[in-house]
Amino acid sequence: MSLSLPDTPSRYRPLGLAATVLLAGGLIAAALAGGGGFLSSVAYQLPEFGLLVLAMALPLIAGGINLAILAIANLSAVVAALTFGAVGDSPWLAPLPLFAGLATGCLTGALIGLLIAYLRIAPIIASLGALLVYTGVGILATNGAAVTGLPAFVPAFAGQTVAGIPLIALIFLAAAILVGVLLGRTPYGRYLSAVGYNETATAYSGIDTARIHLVAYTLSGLLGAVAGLVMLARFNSARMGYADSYLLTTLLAAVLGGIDPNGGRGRLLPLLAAIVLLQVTASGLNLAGANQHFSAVAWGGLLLAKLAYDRLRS
Amino acid sequence: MTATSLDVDGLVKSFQGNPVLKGVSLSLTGGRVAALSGLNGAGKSTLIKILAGVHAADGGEIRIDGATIDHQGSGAMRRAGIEVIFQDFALFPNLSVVDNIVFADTVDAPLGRSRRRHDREHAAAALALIGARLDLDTEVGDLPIADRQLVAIARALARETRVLILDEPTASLTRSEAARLFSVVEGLKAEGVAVLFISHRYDEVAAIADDVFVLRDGSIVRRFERGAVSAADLHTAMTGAPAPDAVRFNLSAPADEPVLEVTGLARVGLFAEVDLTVRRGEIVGLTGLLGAGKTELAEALFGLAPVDAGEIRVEGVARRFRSNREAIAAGIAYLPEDRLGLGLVLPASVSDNVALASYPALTDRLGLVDRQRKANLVSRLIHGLGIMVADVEAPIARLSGGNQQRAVLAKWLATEPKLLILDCPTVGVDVSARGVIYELIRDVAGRGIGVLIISSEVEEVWSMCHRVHVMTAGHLAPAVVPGSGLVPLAELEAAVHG
Amino acid sequence: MAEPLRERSAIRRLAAGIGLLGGAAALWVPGFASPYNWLDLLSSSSITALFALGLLVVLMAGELDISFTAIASVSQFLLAVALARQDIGWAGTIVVSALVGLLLGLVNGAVATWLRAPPIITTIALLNVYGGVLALISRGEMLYDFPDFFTYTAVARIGGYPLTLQTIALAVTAVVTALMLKATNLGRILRAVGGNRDAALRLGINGMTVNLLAYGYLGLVSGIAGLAHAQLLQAVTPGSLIGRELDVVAATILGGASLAGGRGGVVGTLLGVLFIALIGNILVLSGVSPYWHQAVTGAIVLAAVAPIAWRHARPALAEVA
Repeated sequence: MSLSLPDTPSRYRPLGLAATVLLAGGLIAAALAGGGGFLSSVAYQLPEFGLLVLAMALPLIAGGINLAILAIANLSAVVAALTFGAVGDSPWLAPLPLFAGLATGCLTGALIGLLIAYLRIAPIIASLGALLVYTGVGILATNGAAVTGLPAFVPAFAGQTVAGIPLIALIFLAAAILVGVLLGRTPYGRYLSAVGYNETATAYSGIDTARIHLVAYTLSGLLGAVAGLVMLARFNSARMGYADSYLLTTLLAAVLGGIDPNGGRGRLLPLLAAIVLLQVTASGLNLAGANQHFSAVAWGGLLLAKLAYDRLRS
Repeated sequence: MTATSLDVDGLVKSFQGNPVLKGVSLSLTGGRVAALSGLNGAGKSTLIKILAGVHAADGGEIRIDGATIDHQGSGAMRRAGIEVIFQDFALFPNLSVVDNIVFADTVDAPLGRSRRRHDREHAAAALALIGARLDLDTEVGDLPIADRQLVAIARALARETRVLILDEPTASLTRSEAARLFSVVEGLKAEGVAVLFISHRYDEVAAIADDVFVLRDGSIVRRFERGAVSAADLHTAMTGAPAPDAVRFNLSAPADEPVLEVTGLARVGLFAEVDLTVRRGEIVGLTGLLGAGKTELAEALFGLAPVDAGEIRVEGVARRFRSNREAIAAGIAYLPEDRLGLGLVLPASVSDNVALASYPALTDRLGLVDRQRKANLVSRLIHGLGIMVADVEAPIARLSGGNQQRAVLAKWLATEPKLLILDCPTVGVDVSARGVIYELIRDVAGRGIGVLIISSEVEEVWSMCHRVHVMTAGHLAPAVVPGSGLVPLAELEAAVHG
Repeated sequence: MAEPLRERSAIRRLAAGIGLLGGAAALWVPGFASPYNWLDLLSSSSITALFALGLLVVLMAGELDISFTAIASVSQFLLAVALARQDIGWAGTIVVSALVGLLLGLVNGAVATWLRAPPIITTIALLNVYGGVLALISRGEMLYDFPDFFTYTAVARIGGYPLTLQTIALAVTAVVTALMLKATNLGRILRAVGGNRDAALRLGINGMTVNLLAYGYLGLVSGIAGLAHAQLLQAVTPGSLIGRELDVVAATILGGASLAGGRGGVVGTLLGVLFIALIGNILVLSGVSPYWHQAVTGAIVLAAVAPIAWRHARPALAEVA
């Protein structure tokens, strides 16, 4: 992914189409619901969604897929919440639960990466199986219920702003920039894309493709964990099953954002645009009173439409 | 009974506005073998795809026994008795030999019950026709290439085939397997089948063809009869220019220091007791028949396969490679035969492809790619190798075939290797474009890089190398120095073909 | 025709696993070794088995569709609505369920083939569209107004033994699928397309037709699965079937099918379903907390798939010819 302007303007055409449609819808809904509060709610809901999209993007670029990102996010949140329960209310000890949550994300992601890179299990199977295991472990640890009783500074953190911008939004931006730099400016980014396009030729050229996969899924897990921690703060609780419906929307955002589901291609700017547009539309739909099922149909339809558009263009 | 006749009359075909076939006319007769020769891009593969029914021609006619074939779909072609065997055989690796052979029957009656005994008898008969003894229940994916080809031929023969078309059938065969194939073709001739095989190899064409059609730039430019075509004639017809004589390239003398020293190298079942040395600036050729073990040796040198005995020394240091990454780190580069599939990431940019193996040298202190250094490297190599490219950020798939190959070479030169191994460097390259590749190789050697060329084309290694080894059935003969005064081309050819 | 080598080894492994698990359970798990338990196991796993058989056909052709639960949900909902208004008898019931499923399956096939995107993504989208529309139209209300004929547990008897609808549906589907795959040219064509789609197209096979067939078959079978599920529970909670896609995919892969296509068989698939159902059954009977189920099943599936994948792994570096 490059932070500079893309070379082919045609890349932006599908985005432009989707953008107009979504923006129109979102803005209409926003106007109906009342301006400032709407933007604020978008700014608070967007970070977890955006982080999950980033978590989905990396394996897709590598030519794979990680269907377990929600499970990883929730499990990381659960681990963090339980650790908070163990260490108590002192803010000084807060890094411990945070670290536990992030470590969970890395380990769970890495496990999937190992299955795919070294055991050569198909990404769909590996991440589906992992999804089962992680959900199961999480449910076990929580007895299926939500973990609450978090120290007060946790939900307070979710509301913190810096110069009017929610802290969590800044965290997302930081993550996005890091991912953008990783993909656009580091050798790893070139390798990831090459592996997604043609893994054999990349291996012939002397790149350790197994390690590339491993890192991609580990980072995916880490980003998922960050998303989980953001949700932990926002919902003031952790539970397996939160935001499960996000799976489709993250896939949609990735595809709308120019990531080729067959692998290889992915740029940050269109991805960010897709994230913003989808969140605006989702919040707009929400405020307009559309229920979740209507959204599911809308997202599914939109994904199919984008795929159809790509097909017609090729 | 009159012999089968296939008439192709004025076939025209364009793809997206580019004319590929501009009026192709030729005739095949049952009981005769015809060869179709031509350079890559001349239109051979389009022509046979039309005959296979994969594409429909835009204009012109195809007549079998005088009757025009109207809808040129694959069903129509097969019903007319025309069968094409493509280079990749179009077999199903997960299906058994018998299921593959009778597959056309399966397609014709999709709703029918499968008749196991009937199928087995049918398949066995088809295999017997070509004298192949294969287990009917083996999965085709588990068979070696030559056996797979037999299954493909048996499949074609399982129908009432009147015209059999073979696309570069000997490309992956050893000489004995090719000989077996030719005797099968002779047998088909006797049965009255009209055979057309695509090949530009003069020795094959001369040996087996009754008629030779030469396709150039989309139309048939010459037709030769058996015995009336020389290698030079064929070359001239294919390229439109006279054939150069087999000359030795002017090579500068190599240095003394060895880049590669191989002693007693062995891989069980593939080769043994291989001794080989390549000096700085030296071009060493490795030739021999297919199956002699040349590529297996190259794999071992590049760390793609483990070594069972012997030693490899790179610039005097003994090495044991556990992966190709270690070989690359030691300074060995390898261009495999399948340059496009294994050498390039086609959708990625020219710049990314050329730089792919060199990133460790292109990063700054923060671990980011130093764009300026990368651009300099890419630009230097592109100009150095004469690669014509409008935009280095555009996908490399847009480059011409010749430029793509040079880009692969560029990628490896960027790693500043000590030894460059080239496996069949001019396979798939037109005769007219080969000169450029040879120049480049000579250039590379001139920079002090050791070059090991692996090729079954004896003339190529004879003209290009300081020294040549002949490999036979896993044994490497000591190097000889080619040259008119030293080891003439004929002698080297004899050493290879026996 | 004997099963090809890879499918046979999957069957052997599953049989061994089932034997071990079953044997151990019979000895140590109370209540396991009773015919009632086994009948129960059969009934409840029959729905998964139906889905798995349909999915097998799609995987065989080298495709993938995970929207089958949504298709079944739509089908059973429409069936329930129809039955609430009119007694259409078993014939009508089967026709309605099968037709709705078939139609949706054909839509899937057409869309997935035409879009040329990875089928996992296309069918996730379709799953959500079908599920969402169903939820909107049904408003999540449970339907349980069924005519009398629908309520009998045993819909037929053989020699005095009661046969449930689920058993019959499974038996018929298993036989039909097996026959189609092994004894008809259609089966060979499906297998061929999965093994080398490019060659199949070159040899005159119409890719869209084959896909329509495969996806349509899965749709049809899913419709029947929806019917079986509704009859088993004597109620339809719209969308309740959605969520068990993983078990089905896992069962078919365990049974020897491959995501790449061209592999698998009915026997292996059924054993795969049985294996997974067995794990669940044992966990329940052992009094293990239901929260363990998912984790254990997932772990065992991964553990079972890993050796298969490992042995047939294609390393990143292809062997130079």
